[in-house]
Amino acid sequence: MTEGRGKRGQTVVRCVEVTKRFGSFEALRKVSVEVRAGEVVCIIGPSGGGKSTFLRTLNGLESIEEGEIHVLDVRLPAGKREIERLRREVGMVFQSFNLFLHMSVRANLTLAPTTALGLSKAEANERAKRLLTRVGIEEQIDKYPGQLSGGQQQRVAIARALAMEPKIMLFDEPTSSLDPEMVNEVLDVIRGLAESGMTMLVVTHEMGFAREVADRVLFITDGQILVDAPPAEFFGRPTDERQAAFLSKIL
Amino acid sequence: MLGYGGQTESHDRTWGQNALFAAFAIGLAGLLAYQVNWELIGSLDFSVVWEYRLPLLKGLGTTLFLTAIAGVLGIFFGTILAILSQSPFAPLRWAVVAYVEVFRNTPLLVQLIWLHFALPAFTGINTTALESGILAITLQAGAYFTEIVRAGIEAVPKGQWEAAYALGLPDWTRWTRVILPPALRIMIPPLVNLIISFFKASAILSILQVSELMTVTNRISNVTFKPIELFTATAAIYFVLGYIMSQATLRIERVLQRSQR
Ligand SMILES: Nc1ncnc2c1ncn2[C@@H]1O[C@H](COP(=O)(O)OP(=O)(O)O)[C@@H](O)[C@H]1O
Ligand SMILES: [Mg+2]
Repeated sequence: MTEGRGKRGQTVVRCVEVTKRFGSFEALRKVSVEVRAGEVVCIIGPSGGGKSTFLRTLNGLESIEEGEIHVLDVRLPAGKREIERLRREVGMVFQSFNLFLHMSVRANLTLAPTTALGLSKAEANERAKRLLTRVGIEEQIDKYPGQLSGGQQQRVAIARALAMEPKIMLFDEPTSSLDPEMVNEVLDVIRGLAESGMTMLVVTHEMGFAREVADRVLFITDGQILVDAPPAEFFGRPTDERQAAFLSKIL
Repeated sequence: MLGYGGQTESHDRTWGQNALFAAFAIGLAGLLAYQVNWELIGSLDFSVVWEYRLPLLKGLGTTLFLTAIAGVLGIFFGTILAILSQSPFAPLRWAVVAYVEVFRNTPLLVQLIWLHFALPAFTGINTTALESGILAITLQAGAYFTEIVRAGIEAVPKGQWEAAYALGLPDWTRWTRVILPPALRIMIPPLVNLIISFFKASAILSILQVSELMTVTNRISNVTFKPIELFTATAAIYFVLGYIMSQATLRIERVLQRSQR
């Protein structure tokens, strides 16, 4: 594998006894975990287990009721300004792409860099072109999201997040709403990012991808991280009953 | 008759209905023709409209000015209030709801008179008839526009907000570049319809003599004793402009539908 993989840097995400409630329902229950720079962490588990909620607490899209989260140099919960600053350093890719539908691909990629980072139009434009080339759709720059396939839209969404030059990338089931023939073009992009040394947390149901790309796999269910293990161990020797049941169902 | 039962049946029914309506319409027209005072119609003298064209045009100008004010200020306040109604601070949301409900659920005429006569008594600030008129029509338009803009904002998919938040976009950018443009597209047809309503509703301001089209028509008819000619002409003016505006709305709606993919 390329350099960057396996190289463990300093801790960039540290959750300490994090509890998240929706009303009286506990979506996350005293979750503690650490992620280091350059690590690729895949998150799997049954639907409704709290995977999305966990990911969304990391960039402040969900507030937390108890515990604390350190992401880069920010300690959550934090004020609005600080969360805004954090979000500019943590990219997020959604299951449903969430591209800005009334904007061209170019505008989708340049909006945040020009307005939140203060890049000039020309700089942002250069960056947009470079990133679109990287995700393999440079010729679509003047199209609108509605004119692209799902796989292309998700690649634009990844490029849009990368345009902020984030230090961490969060993926929430990036291929779950894609037609099967488009899954690989998106996974290839994410794999390429992993190989470049990006710190990533990826919620996914693609077990082959997790086994191949992850440094660690987390099993989340009932708002808890029940297993945290390297992929070989995770898939080879399940240690938890529910993990074993989940794997036997899905594999 | 040949053909499928269902078809024949529905055909017959439509034909029967048509015949009935035709008979009814002819009867009504006949009755009207009999009742109408043709002598009076023959004696009408529409030259008075031409004679007083300048004051009438000036009145129309004021009506259009009031409509524009209601539209521009109404949309401005409506947008601000709609954004405030998304605030996490509950008392602010309640204040917006209270304003909207009060001004939507009381007659413009009552608001107008209250603002012109009661408000100065409370505040000591005296407003001219035109100022009271502008205030009333703007406040009511603002209430309706708030609801339209709010509905437009809430129709923008949640994913657009999340993407804007996740990118760390500044508030101003999030509103002006991400949320409001698609919201506006949803809002335009009801906005234009509302402006047409206020174009017509501005006639109510004549109760305070604000010199819009209705007031002017009234004044001229008082000195010329030709109310029928003048009010017929004024009705025609309202109709022609109102009709043009509703046709424009239809056009806009069609264009928006086409550009929606
Ligand atoms: N905004 C919300 N309000 C109330 N309950 C929520 C909300 N978001 C998620 N939940 C609940 O929290 C639990 C975890 O959801 P989620 O994190 O989306 O699970 P996963 O991503 O693992 O499928 C689910 O029971 C879900 O119903
Ligand atoms: Mg989820």
